[in-house]
Amino acid sequence: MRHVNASFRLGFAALTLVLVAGNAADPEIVSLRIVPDRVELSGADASQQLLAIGETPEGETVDLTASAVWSAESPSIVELRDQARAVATADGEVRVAATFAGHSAKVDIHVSDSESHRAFSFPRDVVSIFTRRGCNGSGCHGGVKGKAGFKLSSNGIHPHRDYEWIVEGGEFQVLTDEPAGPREPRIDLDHPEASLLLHKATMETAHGGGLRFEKGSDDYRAVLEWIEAGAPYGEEALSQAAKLVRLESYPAKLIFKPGESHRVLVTAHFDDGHSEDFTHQVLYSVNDSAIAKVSGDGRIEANGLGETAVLIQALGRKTRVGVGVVGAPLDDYPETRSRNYIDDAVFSKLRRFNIAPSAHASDAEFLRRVCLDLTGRMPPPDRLVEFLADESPDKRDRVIEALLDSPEYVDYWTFRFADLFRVALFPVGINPKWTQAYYEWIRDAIERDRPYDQVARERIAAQGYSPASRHYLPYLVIPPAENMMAEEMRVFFGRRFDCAQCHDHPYEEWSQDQFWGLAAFFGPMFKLGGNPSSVIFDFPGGQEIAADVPSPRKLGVVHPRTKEAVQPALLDGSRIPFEETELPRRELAAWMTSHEFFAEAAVNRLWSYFYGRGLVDPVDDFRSTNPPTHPKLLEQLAEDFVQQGYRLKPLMRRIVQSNAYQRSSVPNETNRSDRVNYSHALPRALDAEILLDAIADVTGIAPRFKVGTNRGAWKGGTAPLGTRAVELKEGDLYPSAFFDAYGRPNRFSVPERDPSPKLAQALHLLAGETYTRGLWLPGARVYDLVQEGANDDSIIDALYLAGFARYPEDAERQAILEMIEATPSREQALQDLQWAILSSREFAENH
Amino acid sequence: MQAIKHLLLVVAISSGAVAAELGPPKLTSATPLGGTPDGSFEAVLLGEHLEGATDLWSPSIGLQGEVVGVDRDDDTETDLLDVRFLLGARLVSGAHDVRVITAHGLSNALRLIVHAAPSVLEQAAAHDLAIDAQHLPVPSVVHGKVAEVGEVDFYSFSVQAGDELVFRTFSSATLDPGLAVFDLTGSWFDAHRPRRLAFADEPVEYPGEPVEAMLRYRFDQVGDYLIRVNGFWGHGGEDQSYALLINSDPDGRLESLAVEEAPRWTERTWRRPLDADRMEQLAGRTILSGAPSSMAVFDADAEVRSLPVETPAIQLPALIKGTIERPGDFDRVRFTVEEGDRLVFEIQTPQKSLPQLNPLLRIFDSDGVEAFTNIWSRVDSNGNVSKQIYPKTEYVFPRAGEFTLEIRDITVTYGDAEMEYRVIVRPWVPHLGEGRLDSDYVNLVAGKAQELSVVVDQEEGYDGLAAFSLEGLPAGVDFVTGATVEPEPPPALNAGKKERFTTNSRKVTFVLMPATDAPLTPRPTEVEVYARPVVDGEVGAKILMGKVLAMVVADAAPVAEEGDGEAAR
Repeated sequence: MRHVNASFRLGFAALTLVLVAGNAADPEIVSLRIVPDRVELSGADASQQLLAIGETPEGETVDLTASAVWSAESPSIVELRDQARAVATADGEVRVAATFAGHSAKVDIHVSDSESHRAFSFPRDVVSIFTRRGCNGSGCHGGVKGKAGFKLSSNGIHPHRDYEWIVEGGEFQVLTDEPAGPREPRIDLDHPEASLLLHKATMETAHGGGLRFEKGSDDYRAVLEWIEAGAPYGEEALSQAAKLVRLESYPAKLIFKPGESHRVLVTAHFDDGHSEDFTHQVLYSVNDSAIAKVSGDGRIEANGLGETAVLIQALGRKTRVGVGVVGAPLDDYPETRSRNYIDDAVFSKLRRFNIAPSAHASDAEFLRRVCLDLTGRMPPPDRLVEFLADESPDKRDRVIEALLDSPEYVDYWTFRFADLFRVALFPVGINPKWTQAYYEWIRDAIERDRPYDQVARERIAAQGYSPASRHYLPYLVIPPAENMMAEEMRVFFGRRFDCAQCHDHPYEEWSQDQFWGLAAFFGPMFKLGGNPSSVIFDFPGGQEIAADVPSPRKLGVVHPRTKEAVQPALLDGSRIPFEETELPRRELAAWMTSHEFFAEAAVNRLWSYFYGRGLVDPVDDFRSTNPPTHPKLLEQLAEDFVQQGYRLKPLMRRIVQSNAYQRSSVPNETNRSDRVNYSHALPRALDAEILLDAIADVTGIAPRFKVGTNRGAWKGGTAPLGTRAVELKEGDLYPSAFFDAYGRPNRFSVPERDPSPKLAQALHLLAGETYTRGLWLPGARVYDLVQEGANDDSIIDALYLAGFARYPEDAERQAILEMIEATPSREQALQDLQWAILSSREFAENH
Repeated sequence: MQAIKHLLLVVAISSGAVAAELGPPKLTSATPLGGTPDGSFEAVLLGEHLEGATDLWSPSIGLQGEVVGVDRDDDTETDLLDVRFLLGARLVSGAHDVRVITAHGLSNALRLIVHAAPSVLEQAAAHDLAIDAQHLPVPSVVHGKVAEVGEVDFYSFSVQAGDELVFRTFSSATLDPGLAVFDLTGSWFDAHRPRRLAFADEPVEYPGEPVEAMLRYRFDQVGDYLIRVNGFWGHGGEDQSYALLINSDPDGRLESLAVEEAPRWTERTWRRPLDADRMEQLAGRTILSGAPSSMAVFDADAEVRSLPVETPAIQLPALIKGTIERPGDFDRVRFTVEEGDRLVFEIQTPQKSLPQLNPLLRIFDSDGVEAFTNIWSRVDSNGNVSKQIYPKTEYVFPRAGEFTLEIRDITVTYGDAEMEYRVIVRPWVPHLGEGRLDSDYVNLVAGKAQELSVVVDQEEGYDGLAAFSLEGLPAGVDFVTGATVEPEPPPALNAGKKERFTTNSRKVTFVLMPATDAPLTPRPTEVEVYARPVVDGEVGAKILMGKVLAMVVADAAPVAEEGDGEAAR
């Protein structure tokens, strides 16, 4: 068994930002240094990863660890393994040197107690392997339910429990420490190599998680030796000595160019004051692999332009390296004009990363986009023509105002929030009248632009028979308190607390106690009466009234681990005792809506509707390891939102008026791969309902929505004549193969629409009624134009204006005219043209 | 009761052979659904087995009708009865029942609406687009129908700035109407698009509440506006008829299309009247040894204002009147009981009621411990706890002492001047309670016996006898009482304190026996069903349990199905 006891001073605490240059080929440097600049190793096999850092003539730094030539003055004291990993072999002082392109640097390493094998620690010596190998990740055995009955604490945060599940065995069950069935150890002390733990990791036994380490590898040997030694927990660990308190990375922030790479050093700080090199004992992951990639030993590689973060985890602790990938400086960087603080933030960052924004969108492009974004509709051809002809400088602002004031705005944003608030038949008590009331409550809020904090408070604290209270009765029953709390947090805080339900949050500071403290606000909720007449109320003082009938289960919130009743407590730990409030949820709602998280989550979500992604993305996954692309902008938007009384319209106005929003979707050479810096408009697939309405607008044939069951049986009625898809109050009352194919969510959980193309869409394009029915009928656009005697040119114009919101280019027109000429039937050719427009990406995307 | 004049019968009376194939007449809807007093209107009644209709009958004085003809829609297998109604000048506004008489007897009741506002008939031409809206005067009642699937009907009207209008529907049983008001300002996308200003379905969607839509809107601008009618379920058909009232409301007084039910004795409804004469009313339903106790009236709102600190004490029996004036508001009173005292706690919600006002009564002992509530807790067959509040709670106090009654809404979110309550706390008065007939009409065939059942509640431990009688039977019809076996409901997992919230009932079945030579009745006869309490050999006064319309017909018309007695709206 290998024991490690090392301590050292890094001496680079001040170096938090590293600008890297030119290590793709051998760069020109003016100096070279080694990081860390002094090392102390204590104990057998103690080690320290060394980095060779060069400085270019431009003042940028470059990681030359792999390219430099490394040497130790006395190889008997430290051995340099792999790429400059110094491993203690004997006591003494040794100087290690790195040489590159005529430059050299040195570091002194002091080794002590090299014969001393430090006491074994299960958390440090075994659990860290699970972390590094991803075994205890949230997607594997560290997940809420574990995997295949084997549960490890997420990221090794509870090593005692990990030890128990390995040494004693047993099948894990959620929300209890009790195993299901008899316990069978996952290790075999009599025949260590036959241990299930090793067999699974090496795939000698079928393992859903695949190969974790090779038989004979260092990690394999470490685990095997631990079993051979009787699988101890470790005296030191048992005494709780030297607990890891913090991880630190070098560099903390990294800015480099595509194709460049840089290694990371990770230092673990323990509560007894000593530190160790953990570079090779942590798990690395990256938030956005389009920006950067990271290897298992901490080598970060720049990929595309933009920012991301590399997450580093070990023994329940984490840190991160901010990564920025910048382009080459541009000689002719385009001039940008700021309309408001959004432009300031977006353009300044683009400049910093040497990304040129796309050109200002043309009037046609702008109008189509802003119509779709504010109202879910494409501009009518006559309005488009009028807009293009208008030469007044404020025409964009005027059309924005007209759209914000339009009834279509109300329809569209009601649809948007009906999605978020899960307005549908089954999630709202299987009662279409409840669904309608809930929908109308949202619609009223949108129509009057009611302050969003008021809306949130009404929903969170909803009682009685109010429309907003209906969402607490999916399937006619009140869901578990923890589910209700987690949804309100996700919707209004943009945070996923669910992870903390069963264990402390793996990436955040949220603890399981905090989770259940928040859930307790929803604990007293109960419903009066049976269905369909349920009234929501909260037991006064948290105490059940009319408790003369023993309940089969305890009412209220019980901590799954301690089995004790939980009192409501806010995230900051302040308790709201039941006896001190009439309605705990009202207190929670007031606290939530005044918390900075609330405004940030709201503006971030709103932002995503206009830019196709949030400043924090996914929009409901705020966490320290998923930072905003523009932190200051997020703050400014939130402040603006609060100052505007939490009203949506002023914020939307601010966004669509910005020059950043009004960029073209046509990329340039510098921003083609950018998807996070808003350098150009990102094309987005139209949502199913928007797409269907757009098809109806282009063809002139409105769909009818039949009332049906979820199995498609028609119930004999339809939505009112003239109803558009975005106006459907309860989507699941109207089954539709089209909606299914194009990703309409069922709203059983907070919806996340899936914009990715699917085979069903392709089939629908070819044979679906939606794309074929309306092409040649009285009332259809093409049919009527032909009947009116319109010539080919005017029909082509009409279809382009309706579908693409632009006139055809000369080459397009010529090609179409030739196609019509070559087709025996003019009618068929024009139908084909319309079909081609409807099936094009240009039509089906907002760009 | 008013017999309707028998007028022209266009369709020949069917032969006996044909008649034998017919069932009892049944009405489903009418178009139009009503008219104005001192006027007449032609209507089409839809239903089944209307062939051979001879007459119309209504209990309302001044409502007369004549059968003009009958047709049949084979597609929908519906009979269409052409009728003409005459509405007397003194006919009061509101809903009125009408029935059809055929050779096979009397139909169920169909409700028509009589209104003071002028009638307008829906135009024949489609008006499902805003630009095609049919113009209506204000006030008026337009009678129309949602004839096609998904149909919407647009009507336009003119207002002055500041006008406040009320829109109400009265519809056939098959239609669940919704309303929306629009202006004509259009939108940037479509100059003709109506812009929705307000929407309404029924004021409260709740079991037992009407589905009629009601909308009140104040118009800030002079001009023309639109009102749209549609069916919630998007169905269409000849039976989807409606009347839409548009009325100005300068004084806050509205002509209502709402249906007012005839008053009848109930004990477990939230809106039954509770007054200071409650004890006298109950005495009339039992036999008391002495005079009923007088009841003190306590104004909880006023008392709370004058005694802000100490909970006021009341003497029983008492009527407590109060209001949940603001969210979280509650009223408390103290009372004293002896061991074994049996008290009843009754609640009335005169204005707002369930689910907007959910009155919770909690009774605490002198230590502040909850003794009981008006919530019935149960465990259903799935093991789930169920709780529901009840308007009447009976309780036996196991010990003497002072108790506190707390009255509040079960939420802490609602409270206003309309959340009024009346609570009576009184001793048990064992008595005969509510009676429920299984039908409100019966067609008797000469020579054949037919059942008529009544269920009577025995309230507050009433264990005396009940003597039943029928009065007003048609000539040649006699009756005897029979017995039927009532199936036991499946037991609950834990029925909780059921006895506090429910009562024992008894079901009595009359066997009506028309003689073979009983004379046929051209019009229905109103038969009254009475019960008398009998305690210790003393027979109490007659208590009306209900009325049933009876006819003697020659044919073997099947008995009306249970529930047919409910009037079609």
